[in-house]
Amino acid sequence: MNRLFKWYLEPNLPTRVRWGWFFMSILLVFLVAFPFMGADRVQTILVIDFLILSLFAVAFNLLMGFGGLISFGQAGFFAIGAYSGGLLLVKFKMPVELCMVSGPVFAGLAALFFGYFAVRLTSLYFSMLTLAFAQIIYTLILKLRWLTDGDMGIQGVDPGAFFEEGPFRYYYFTLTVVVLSCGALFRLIKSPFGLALKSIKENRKRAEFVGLDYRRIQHVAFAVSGMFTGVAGMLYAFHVNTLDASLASFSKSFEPILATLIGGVGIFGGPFIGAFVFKVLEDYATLRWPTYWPMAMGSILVLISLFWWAGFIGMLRDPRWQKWLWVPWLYVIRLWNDLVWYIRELKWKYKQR
Amino acid sequence: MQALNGVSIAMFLALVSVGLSLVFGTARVVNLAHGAFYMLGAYMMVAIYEKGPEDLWWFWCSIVFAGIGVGIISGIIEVILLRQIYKRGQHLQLILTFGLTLIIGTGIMLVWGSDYKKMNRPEALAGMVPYIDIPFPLYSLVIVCLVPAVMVVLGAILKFTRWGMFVRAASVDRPMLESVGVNTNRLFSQVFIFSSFLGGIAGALAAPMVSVDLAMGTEILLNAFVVVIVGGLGSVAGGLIGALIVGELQSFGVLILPEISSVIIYVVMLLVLIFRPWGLMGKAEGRVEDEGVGV
Repeated sequence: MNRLFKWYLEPNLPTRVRWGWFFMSILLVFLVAFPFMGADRVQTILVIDFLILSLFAVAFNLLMGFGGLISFGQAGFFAIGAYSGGLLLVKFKMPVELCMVSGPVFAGLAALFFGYFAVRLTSLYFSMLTLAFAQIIYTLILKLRWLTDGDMGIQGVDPGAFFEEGPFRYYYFTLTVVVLSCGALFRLIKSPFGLALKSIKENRKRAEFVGLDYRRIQHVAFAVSGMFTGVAGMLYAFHVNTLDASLASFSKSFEPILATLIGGVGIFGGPFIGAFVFKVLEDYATLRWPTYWPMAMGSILVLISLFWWAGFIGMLRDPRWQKWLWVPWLYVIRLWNDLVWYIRELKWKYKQR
Repeated sequence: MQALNGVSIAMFLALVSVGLSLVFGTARVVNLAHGAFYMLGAYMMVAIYEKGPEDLWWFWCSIVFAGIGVGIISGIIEVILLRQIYKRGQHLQLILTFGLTLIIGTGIMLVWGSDYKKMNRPEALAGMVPYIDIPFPLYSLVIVCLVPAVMVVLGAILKFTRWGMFVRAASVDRPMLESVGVNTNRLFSQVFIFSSFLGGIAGALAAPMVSVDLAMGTEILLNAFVVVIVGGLGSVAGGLIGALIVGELQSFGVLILPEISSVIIYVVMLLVLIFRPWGLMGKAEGRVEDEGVGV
């Protein structure tokens, strides 16, 4: 325990890191306490959605932010994770625990296989190849009717009696899995492996000269990312209870990309904020403008790409924006000062009388 | 019969993918909104064609008008939005153009409604090809003759005019082109407008053959990416050959392996990417791989 907290007491720790941990712990406390704050069913569903999307986006951020590999096919692994759990449960009547483990295992294996080809390419070609993988999986789900029921989808993916007993059991299960997975990813990113991955992104040739086998490292990163995407898919399958082919669609692949971009690319905490903003926007827009919400979403995307391009946390780190961040605080402080002076004045007058 | 069908599918794909690879070659922008421009062209074609006398002359006029309309809209978009972020990372262009796709798609739904449109061919082009045994629509024959001619003209423009020389130079070395005094911003605008014009014309030509609905943009965009990868970036001939391969695979795939027909083109793309990452007709030296992506 002592070893776990010693680094936090280190005097040379940057303020940025302290703030980051501060906000992360506030978020965690909020999420743990959330069911006790009078939450209803709809809110719980929304927060579970948010948790799953953040895990999805954090796993994607490992590739895009730290590896420089923009994958358009993450939804493929998401769908593999969801479908392998759901199919084993519904079609083959396996026990629930086995199904839950099988999601990440199958997604990881698929990512290991696809990654072998994918990391041999870079930039646009990598994106297109991963997109092709996702499209292959999408078409397979639609066309292999004997296995997946095509566009009918699979119903009745129930997590079992244990999770349905209390209203918040599945919520806490999701929270635990997401926190553990994100912790593992954090550890991975801060490890020498993560540093090697980052150095390959910055300059592949120099990383090669240093002696890093860049293909193998990217391959491992791709497989790990696919595995955690599979975890998110598995959680999603048992959350919504029905599966269909849109899980592997092009627009599903864009969800983690957008969440990562809104929060900040290459920043570990970014996807959490991005996923939160994305979910809130999506929920609001679908309620407010049910038919026209793609347009609202598109306008937001355009505005983000023009004015918000570093992401939320990226902006906070930029000195030019930090300057503006302090302006409202200065106003607050001045108001407070004025108020104090005013009260003092009043007291003085009161005493005079 | 199937082969001819495949060829006529391939023609639209060729026009769309040439536009994509032109923009990617010069400005290094992956234009996800290109499918939306294609769809916009088709809807404009339907709307314009209904307004006039529905004869052959008006048919060609409305194709040109639809192309010009799409070009104007894309020009406005380029100057106001896209020009701001050429210098920033590629992922921002992706998200901007994806946002544009959503906006254009919803805009079309607002203006023309969400149900699909059917367009009548003009009288002169409605029948089958005379004097041959197999049934083949006359309109497809016109497409099969017209589009390669357009491609040849395009190739000649790129090869022999001064403007085409600038475009080719931009795909090789952009900073150098800028430093010898070419206004690259203006060049990019011109290329973008030109490619969207081609996309709009492809949509307008496709409007009488396919059902015009809100999903046609995404569908052709994904196929066009496959074409661009298979054929090679920045090569007109490669675009045509890639489109032919994809079109044939699609129309024969339905016959041979109906279950997984649309997987076949992706498998072919996979093979091409693994063994010849720069495409069948592209050049290995000028490939983008060495530049990396600025995230």
